[in-house]
Amino acid sequence: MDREWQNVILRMMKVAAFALTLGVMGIVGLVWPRPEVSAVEKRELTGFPAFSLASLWDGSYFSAIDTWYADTYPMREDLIAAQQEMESRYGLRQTQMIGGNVVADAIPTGDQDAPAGTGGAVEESPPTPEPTATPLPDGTVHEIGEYVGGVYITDGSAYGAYYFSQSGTDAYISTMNQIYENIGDKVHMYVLNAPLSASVMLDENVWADMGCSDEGAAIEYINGKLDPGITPIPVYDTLRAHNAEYIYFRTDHHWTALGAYYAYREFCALKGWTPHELDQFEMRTYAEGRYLGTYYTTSGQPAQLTQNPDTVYAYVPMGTNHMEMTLEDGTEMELAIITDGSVFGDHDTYCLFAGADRPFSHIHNDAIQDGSAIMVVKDSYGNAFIPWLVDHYEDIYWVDYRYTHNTVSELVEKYGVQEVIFEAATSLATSGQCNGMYLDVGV
Amino acid sequence: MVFSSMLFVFLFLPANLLSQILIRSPRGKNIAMLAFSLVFYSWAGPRYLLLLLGMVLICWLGALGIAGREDAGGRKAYLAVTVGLCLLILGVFKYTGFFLGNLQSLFGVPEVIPQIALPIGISFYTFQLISYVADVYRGEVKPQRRYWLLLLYASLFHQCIAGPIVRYRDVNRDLVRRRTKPEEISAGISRFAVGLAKKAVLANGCAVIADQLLVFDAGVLAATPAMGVLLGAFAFTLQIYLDFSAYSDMAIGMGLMCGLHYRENFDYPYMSGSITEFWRRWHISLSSFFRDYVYIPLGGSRCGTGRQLFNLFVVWSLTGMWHGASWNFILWGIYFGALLAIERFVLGKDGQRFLPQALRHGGVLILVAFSWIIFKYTDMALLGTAVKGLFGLNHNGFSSGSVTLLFKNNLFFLLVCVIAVTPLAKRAGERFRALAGRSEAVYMLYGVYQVVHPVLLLLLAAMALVGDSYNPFLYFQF
Repeated sequence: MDREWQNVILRMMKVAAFALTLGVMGIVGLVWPRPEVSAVEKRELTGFPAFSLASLWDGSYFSAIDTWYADTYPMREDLIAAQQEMESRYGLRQTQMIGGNVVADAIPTGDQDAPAGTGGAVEESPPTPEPTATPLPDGTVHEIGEYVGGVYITDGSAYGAYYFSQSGTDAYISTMNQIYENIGDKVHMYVLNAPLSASVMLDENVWADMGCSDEGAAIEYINGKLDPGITPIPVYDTLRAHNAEYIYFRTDHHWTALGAYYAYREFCALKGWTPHELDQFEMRTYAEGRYLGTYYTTSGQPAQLTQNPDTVYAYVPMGTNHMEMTLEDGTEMELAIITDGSVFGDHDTYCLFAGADRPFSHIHNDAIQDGSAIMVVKDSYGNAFIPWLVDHYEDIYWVDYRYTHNTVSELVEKYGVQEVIFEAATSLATSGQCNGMYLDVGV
Repeated sequence: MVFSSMLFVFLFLPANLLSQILIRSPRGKNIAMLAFSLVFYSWAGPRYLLLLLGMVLICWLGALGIAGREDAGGRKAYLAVTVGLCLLILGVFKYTGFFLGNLQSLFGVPEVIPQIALPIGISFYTFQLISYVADVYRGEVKPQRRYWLLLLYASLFHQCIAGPIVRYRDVNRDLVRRRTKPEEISAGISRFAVGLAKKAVLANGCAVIADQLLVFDAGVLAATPAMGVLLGAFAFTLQIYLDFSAYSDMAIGMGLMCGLHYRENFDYPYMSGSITEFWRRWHISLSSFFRDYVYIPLGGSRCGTGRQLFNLFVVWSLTGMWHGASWNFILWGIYFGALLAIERFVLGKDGQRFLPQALRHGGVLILVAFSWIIFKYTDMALLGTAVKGLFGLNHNGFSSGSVTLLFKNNLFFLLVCVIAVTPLAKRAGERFRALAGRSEAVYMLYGVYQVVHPVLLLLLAAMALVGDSYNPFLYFQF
């Protein structure tokens, strides 16, 4: 066959391959079942837009069709995973930072004025945790990789970076102090500020290079400005001391049950209790080597996290594993405190703790009959913390301050609790986004 | 609709190509192409379609009016009225807010500045229509008697909303005859696939880096060290070329698949050894428009130095303004006008030759990259902060680990992008083809490459586009 004919055949094959690819992808896009939710991204995918003349006229209708088509294209998660795999080869990505740029405020030193708002300008130092008798192994990650903003990834683990916001922090302190004014005469109020994993797990030089703030110093600043009647639960130093252990997930922004356990031990120390030891509990394992949490999603599913998934370990309370909760629409339901994590899939396994984030929940522990009752006002870090309290109280009530419809004052009155713990991930509570979410204070 | 969307690539384009294959007559093909183009244009909202229809009507009537007059005065009057109306409409939609905003800041009036949305592609199709009317006036083309064919010229979805600015005389013959050649279809497929992947993978990837460093938050920008601004400018320099030239690649490729021939719009501009050469290679259809319809009619270079300087100033101010209704674009245009004037009147050809090739090339790249910083920031305060940052005047050090990390994270990717802005791949392809002509074994390899590369590029682009719902072309705003 002469070259001319070969060229003709070659061109025909090229056109056929191109047309076939367009055709197959086009037909798949038209007739293949489209996904409606993304388990990885934890969201409903864009629906087909509702038609209206106004949206047609201004172009938003067609633009929404564009988004729907791309967002729900069949096999989108496989295509995205392939894209991430390709991007992992864009450069040297053992360490990377994903996310927006943030410039942190400087953390004031202790001799500066208290924030505006009620509550006191308190110059007392927070309780200092007892030094650990035997030096713990150092798990600090010293890898220097620097960036401003977002999720820091190194050696297959993601760490959320903390940036101090003066106004957000002052608003939070003011909120806590105002709530204390309302309920301080009825209950003992504790504040537990949970740090992000970067603050606990990474070397201080890494923070500095990332332009991040010292979250330990920020928590110290907060505690120094809280009303003296409020007792801070000092978890930062103890978590840092235990950072060689599996206390934070590698692919999710939460602490593990073990991380929450060390917070619980600090609470016991304040209470003068002997904490239960881990081996007293039944340990369950979920999503073993498969859990890919929020950092995996928010950082664009980087390949190095895909290769290093987490496992969720949960410890079943001894007294009871039964709880009840009220959903946002008022529906009441009963479930296990440590529920079957396999039902949540490999991206939501953290939801197995204490019913996840709900407006109101309650545990009654028949094993204790002393009338003790505590309330926890919490965010999602509280979910892994609450199960540890079960074996110390007859009743535990908790609300997620982001979803509850009630003020803490009302609930304290209604349930006659003696203690309230305000648990909050420092980064979220002091970001300024949560102002007004504590209904006792309002906007 | 944008070319780099899943809906376009896997639904609109196959349907359009199918229509062009199934319909045999040129007239039928053109009717189908017009229908597709109007749907494509209406995607941003049918209200803008009315404007396009109206402007085409004005130019259609204006050109017929010019052709119908024998006297120079009458022809000139038709030309002036038609072009004037086009520029007026462009001015109202594009520059009202800018003009009134400046008035307000100077004199405090008007109190309220009307918010007028910029119809998509208006700068491109207005210039196309002006070139048509001017060419009819000059007697270079005959006026189009059929309104719908002129509408097809202006609305052709390949180039209507982001160029190239196609001349009527170039495309009219193709519209009437519509001959597709197999080798052109093959070349069109490659060109389109390369353009799509260039946009979806390379340009969008560069955008991620550039957007991380050349930010619009004044505090964060001021905290970015000099190397950060430099890396941002570098990434943006790559992005803007890869993005815009990708659009032209796709337009040219789709044109070839349908028997329409558009002129090249880019010729590896970052390989230029002078700013004059850069503008011969960058957005060629725009610079040739200004050359043919503004610069030469003003007298061009065949006049005194003072007049030449004036002509340069006018052309480059207009070039800047065409890119956007903001002072930074005018500054950007004047910046290039000044550089061109320096090259012509200060350095001269001898002066330029005196400089070594590498130095000239490096100098052009630095000057062009700097221009993209001016181009990027419409807010003059942010522009000031970025320029200060570039020279380390924001007092935050030369570099930071974060910049190093970002660079390391994208080292290979940036290298690929650098190669993509040079003719290396093109030359390698030519060499490959030449070798294939001499050896059967290499020909087989070449054959596999020819068949497989468009498919692979399509799939790579699909991977990038699926998770990327927002990726408009930079030049859409113009």
